Amino acid sequence: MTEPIIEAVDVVKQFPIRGRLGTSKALLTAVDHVTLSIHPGETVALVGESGSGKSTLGRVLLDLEKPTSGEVRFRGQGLESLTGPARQDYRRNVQVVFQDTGSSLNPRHDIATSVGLGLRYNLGLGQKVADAKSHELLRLVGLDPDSFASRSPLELSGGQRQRVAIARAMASDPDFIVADEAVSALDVSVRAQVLMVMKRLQVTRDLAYLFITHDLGVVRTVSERVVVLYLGQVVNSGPTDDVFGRPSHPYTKALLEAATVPDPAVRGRERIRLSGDIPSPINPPSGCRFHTRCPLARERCRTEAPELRAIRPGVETRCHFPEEVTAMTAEVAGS
Amino acid sequence: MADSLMEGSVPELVEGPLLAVQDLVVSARSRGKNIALVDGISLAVNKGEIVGLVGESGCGKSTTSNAIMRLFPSQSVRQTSGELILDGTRYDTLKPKEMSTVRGARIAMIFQDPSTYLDPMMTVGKQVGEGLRVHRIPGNHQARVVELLGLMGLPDPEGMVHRYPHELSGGQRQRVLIAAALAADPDLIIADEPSTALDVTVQAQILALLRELRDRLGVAILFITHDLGVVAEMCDRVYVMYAGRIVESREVHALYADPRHPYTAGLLGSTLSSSSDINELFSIPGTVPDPRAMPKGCRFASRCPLADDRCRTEQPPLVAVAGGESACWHHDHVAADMWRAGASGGAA
Amino acid sequence: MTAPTPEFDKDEALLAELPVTVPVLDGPIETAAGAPRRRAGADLWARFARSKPAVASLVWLVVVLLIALLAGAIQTSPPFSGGPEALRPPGTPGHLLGTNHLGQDTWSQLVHGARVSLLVGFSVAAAATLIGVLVGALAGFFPGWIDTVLMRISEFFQTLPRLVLALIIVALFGSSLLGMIIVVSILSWPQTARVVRGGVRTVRSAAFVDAARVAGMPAGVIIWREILPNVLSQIVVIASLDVAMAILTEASLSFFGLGDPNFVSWGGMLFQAQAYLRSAWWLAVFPGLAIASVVLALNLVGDGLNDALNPRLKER
Repeated sequence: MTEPIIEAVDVVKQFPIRGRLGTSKALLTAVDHVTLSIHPGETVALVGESGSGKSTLGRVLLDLEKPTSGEVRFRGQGLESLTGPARQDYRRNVQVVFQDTGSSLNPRHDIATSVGLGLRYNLGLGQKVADAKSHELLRLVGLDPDSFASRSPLELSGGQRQRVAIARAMASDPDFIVADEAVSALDVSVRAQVLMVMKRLQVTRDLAYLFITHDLGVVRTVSERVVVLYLGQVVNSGPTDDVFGRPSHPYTKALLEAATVPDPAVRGRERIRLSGDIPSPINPPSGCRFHTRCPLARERCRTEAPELRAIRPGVETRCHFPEEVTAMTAEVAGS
Repeated sequence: MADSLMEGSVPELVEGPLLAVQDLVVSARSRGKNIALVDGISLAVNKGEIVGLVGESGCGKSTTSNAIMRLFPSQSVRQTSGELILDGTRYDTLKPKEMSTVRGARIAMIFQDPSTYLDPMMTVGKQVGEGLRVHRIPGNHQARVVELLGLMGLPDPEGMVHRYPHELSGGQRQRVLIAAALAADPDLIIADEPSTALDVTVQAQILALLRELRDRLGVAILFITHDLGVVAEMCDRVYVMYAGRIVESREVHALYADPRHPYTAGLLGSTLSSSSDINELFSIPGTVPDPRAMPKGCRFASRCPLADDRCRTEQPPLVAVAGGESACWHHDHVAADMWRAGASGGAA
Repeated sequence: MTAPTPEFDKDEALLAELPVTVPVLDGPIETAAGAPRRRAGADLWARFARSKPAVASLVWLVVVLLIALLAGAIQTSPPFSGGPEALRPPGTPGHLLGTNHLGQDTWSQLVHGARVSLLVGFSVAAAATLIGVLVGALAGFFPGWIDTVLMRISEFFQTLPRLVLALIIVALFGSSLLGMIIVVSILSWPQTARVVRGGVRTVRSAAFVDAARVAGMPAGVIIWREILPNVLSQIVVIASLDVAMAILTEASLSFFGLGDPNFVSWGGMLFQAQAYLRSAWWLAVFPGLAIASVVLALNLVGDGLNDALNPRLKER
């Protein structure tokens, strides 16, 4: 297999929680020894709920946060050791599309300015050339530059704004894009359009994506591989069809069954429903972190933290009893 | 008229609906002009029903729920026409003082983001009990609060009474909000995207809880959402809203199996289900028309493959179809896969 | 417009070749619907103009400004030239608002005093804004020790007692207009710094700032081009309040006799009016009204600006 374009190698990211008077009260471990690699042209989905650390991991890969320990490697080289042209190369090739929250585009700038940022700063192009190229980029994502270039983001719909965000990410012709909940805030009827733009760009430019999302429908549609996070740890990973088709971790199965299905005919179906809430990442449960909500939990799970291991080629899981997962039926677990 | 808890009773359809909204028009005042955000909609919720109001951003569904509660976030938005009728009595003309006996006591509301709707300075017990105090419900308030928290499935209800919202998780806060809404035993709950901000596994719990409350207490729910999966899980009947109007109103199974409006078919088709092939994806082209410049005829015509000249000049009324109503001149040409197969019949 | 580069041509060619199923609905390039919004400036004025008190106050401030600029022309006698007609009440021929104990014309002193007040007010606001924005932006953008150090410094300046500081400056440099401006600026900038710091911290966490970092923008450019424009509304409002506060502070310092004796100021007029409060009411009332009306007007304009720049608070 070709060399990965970007990797997280045993990354840990912790945040101090300030107590009163500014003293350090506790440590929040958002990302807990995660190793992940993405190869050119690949789409990997990073799935998890609140407290899973998925967004933080994305930010570490983008160098918006420095890891507490471990490192990020770009084309085999650690980020910290990159200087000058190598660093520029990283910045040009690793880009981001954020969620459409209303503040992913600067409301004070017009669309062309926002799109051209990478052209001006990552590529060092002059204003005029950047403007011309911004127009090209808008056309690339299906927006007419003459009518969009000088508008304010507030005048655009969610789907249009996300395509502008994609155009901005494409400015320096990157090899890897982190898509952090890129379609979550969009109306259903528009999501497909944005995903199609991203897919076409991937095919034509050999782009790799890390799709950070909580939406399993998106995961199935766009990604070849999926990594499931729970409280900062990888609990399951492998090819999407395999991980979802033959679940080897109770959390993955619970996630799959918790998703709503747009078909009232299957409404009464039997499915697992987890009880309790997601524990706080400041004070994670002992042993296996999922044991407080897991239908299969037993004494060993409370005391011994399972290791991440391969259960079949390509599929890894962090569970003491992965073979029992497929037979797991609808039970509401006690905590 | 608030009944005490009716455990185990089966909700029955009574003659008149519990809530009837008739020809509601809600307008916003902008630069001297009235712009209709909700343009003449009618809907009904029967006792013990879960009714869905589904639509995308800008369709007016949240404005509708605000109108039903008569609580608008802005002074420039008002109901300009239509009637709101609760259990046979009109209430949109009530004075504020009288209205406060309706809000909370007969119609309650739960919102999307529990963090912003719970007062961080008040304990859980105080907030849940507020409804009991304000509406002067007789009986032991403290006991009722504990009972409600237990009903919500919250652990250690007696201890929970003294906790503050920031000590709770998102799912727990939403349960507290629901408990507060139920305090004065309303007949109808308006749930405005109550599970959208929650994690998937927590959402499943909250939805199950709401269904259970309907089954055990007989409370009706008007469920407002953009999520068709949630609607399929929860609702008995569905209203589909587009550009300020109701375009389809159907019994839920009929809606999903056999949509009778192109917009509904488009919504259903563009929902990413777990088995989507990326090459089969589609979106509805075009955008929702600006409320300041609504087209003359059918509001969906500019995006619709079935649109013809009649559609562009005459607004279709709601007409009866199997299992409900649809507002489309070509409703019998609508098929669930019409967006994929291409337009047929009537396209000009 | 320059021609499309070869890279983008390659893109089109590739798209044509690849066996990717393109959805039926994938149509031509989308055009924006509706007319573009009005320019931001016209919008801003329209919103500001909705508040009658704000507009009236703005008019009044313009009047005061004109009076100050034309002071030399509209005086009835040189402000410092006294005369035998001392303590005359308003309405005395040749002395519209009366005279003081030295025979100096009150009206002429009033119009000249406007100059000092406005000069001090706007100079201080400019200086305080400059320093405050610099300190606040750095403190807000760089968390950790930079923030802590800068905020401790600003707190130090905030807790300085005005009078003591003014006395020290006067003692060291003599009482002068420049000294007055320096003193009041030192007292005013911490407030601006606090507001700017708060604003910068809020905007710093916005996604578009992260996007700018990922696009390679250096920190200084980010602060200047991405963050500060979004804090501008708060800066403008606090600056307008700065003017009001400066005028009041100058007046009170002059009232205590620490002002520049070479210039007439409203505060100085009040200083001199102390002895005659009962016998010559006009000596205190007119400068007092002047100060009060200008400060009130500045506050109302500040409110109007706040509402105009943050329209979400009032309407959807």
